Amino acid sequence: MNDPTDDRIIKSLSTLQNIPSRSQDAEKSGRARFLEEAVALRQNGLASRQKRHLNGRPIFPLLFSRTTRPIWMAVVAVFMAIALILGSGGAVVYASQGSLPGKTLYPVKLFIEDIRLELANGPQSQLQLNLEFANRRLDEIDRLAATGQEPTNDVIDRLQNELDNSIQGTAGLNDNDAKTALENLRNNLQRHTDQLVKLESQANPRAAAEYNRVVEMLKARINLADQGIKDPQALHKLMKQQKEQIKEQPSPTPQVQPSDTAAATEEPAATATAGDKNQNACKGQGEGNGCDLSPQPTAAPQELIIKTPPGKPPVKTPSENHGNDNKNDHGNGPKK
Amino acid sequence: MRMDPSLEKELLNGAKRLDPKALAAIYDRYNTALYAYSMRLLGEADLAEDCVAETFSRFLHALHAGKGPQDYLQAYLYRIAHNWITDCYRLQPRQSFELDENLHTDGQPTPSQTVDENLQQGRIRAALRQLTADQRQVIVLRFLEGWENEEVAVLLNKPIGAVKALQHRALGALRKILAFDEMNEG
Repeated sequence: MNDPTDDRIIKSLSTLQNIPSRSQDAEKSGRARFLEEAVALRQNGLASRQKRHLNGRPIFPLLFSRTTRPIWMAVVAVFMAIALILGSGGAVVYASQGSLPGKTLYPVKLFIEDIRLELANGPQSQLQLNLEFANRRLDEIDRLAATGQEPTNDVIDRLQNELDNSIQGTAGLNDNDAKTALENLRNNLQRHTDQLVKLESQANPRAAAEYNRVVEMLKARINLADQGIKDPQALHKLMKQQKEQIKEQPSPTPQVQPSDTAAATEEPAATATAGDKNQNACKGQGEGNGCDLSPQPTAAPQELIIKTPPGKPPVKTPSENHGNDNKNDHGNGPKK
Repeated sequence: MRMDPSLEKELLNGAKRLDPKALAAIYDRYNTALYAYSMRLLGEADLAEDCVAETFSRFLHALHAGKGPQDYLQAYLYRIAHNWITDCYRLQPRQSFELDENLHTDGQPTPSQTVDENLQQGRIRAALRQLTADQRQVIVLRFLEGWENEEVAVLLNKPIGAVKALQHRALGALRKILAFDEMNEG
């Protein structure tokens, strides 16, 4: 460093010390962008973590665990091979994953979900898939709402079914795991409920009524999850009883008990005509959706659980189809 | 130069959770210095802003992916900025330094002073650009940013002796480059 040439070089370098003053606007907007990106990543991270670790267990190790039955592995392998061979079919499947209700590829997305549920190995996998798909439905509803669109009846029904199957599915877990799963579900439902309530206040009357219908349905599930968190055993016991009742039913079509119908027909007060059929189950308990969901550890859950095996599509009774009787009415919501 | 290690640890823990307060504190602490660093090497305000934005964005994405620094946050951020500038050099064809009408300092120099200074800055930037990435980083951090050898060693992940050797070689290269420039002008 004693070399005078080095000193000259270092002195020359110092001319770069003087830089033009920075634009304050550019600095402020750069800071704002950075913090916005952080918020977006944080939200994205929470969502993806929830998806990856539903109930605290990663999905993929369970799906592909060593306990997976070889026959199902073979089916999965064949399916994947076909998807690979067809190539374009695989691309369609991939492209469908981001589709929204009403779009051409949306039925493909639902079809793939049904196949995954069919292939799910055991109740735990089914629970995880039901939670994952329920999250998808909630995201779809949020995305539709963000663009001023109303959720279709099909989406709401499917969400309801996935949530009920998820709650039922916790019966197959130990108390701690069940509590964790129900807490995760509850927190997620609360987040979406809050968002929909906000949107409801800004939406047009028709959309607001649809949002309200979803909100009431979600509140009912939050209530049920709360009860399960308090006393998972009571919930498990109830699930077991209901499972046995399903087995005893001779008909290949699972019957929905009057008390269950009340849950399956959760509708806003505007559709109470159909709900009147279930007045014995819901009599005097209406809270916008026709049923009281106040904490009653043994009785209240019974009114909400639908008698369908976990992971299977619901079998609709006439009362469940109210507001949806007209097949052409799909996607337009109940007439108010 | 370096932040108090316990405060840095606290901020980094917050940053890993993508806590807005911690991230804002980190941004406020380093963005001006990073802008100056990139401005000295790039000479264009827009590019320097891009460099700062990209540096913090990459930092965020690293945190989001569960990566990012455990300590020495300053070194980590400068390394990202340095890599971005090196990529920028690669992508942009080497240009002869030009006078920029927007280039003026706060001291309101006379037009002729501005011209001289801009010429000199352009010459030095062009010379720095001919160094290797590591050599350039050592020279800029040591003589423009005022970092100690130990800090540069952390950033480059090299022993202090290696940093000194790099600095020696970089000065030798600059001596040749600048002498070459002077000869050309002569």
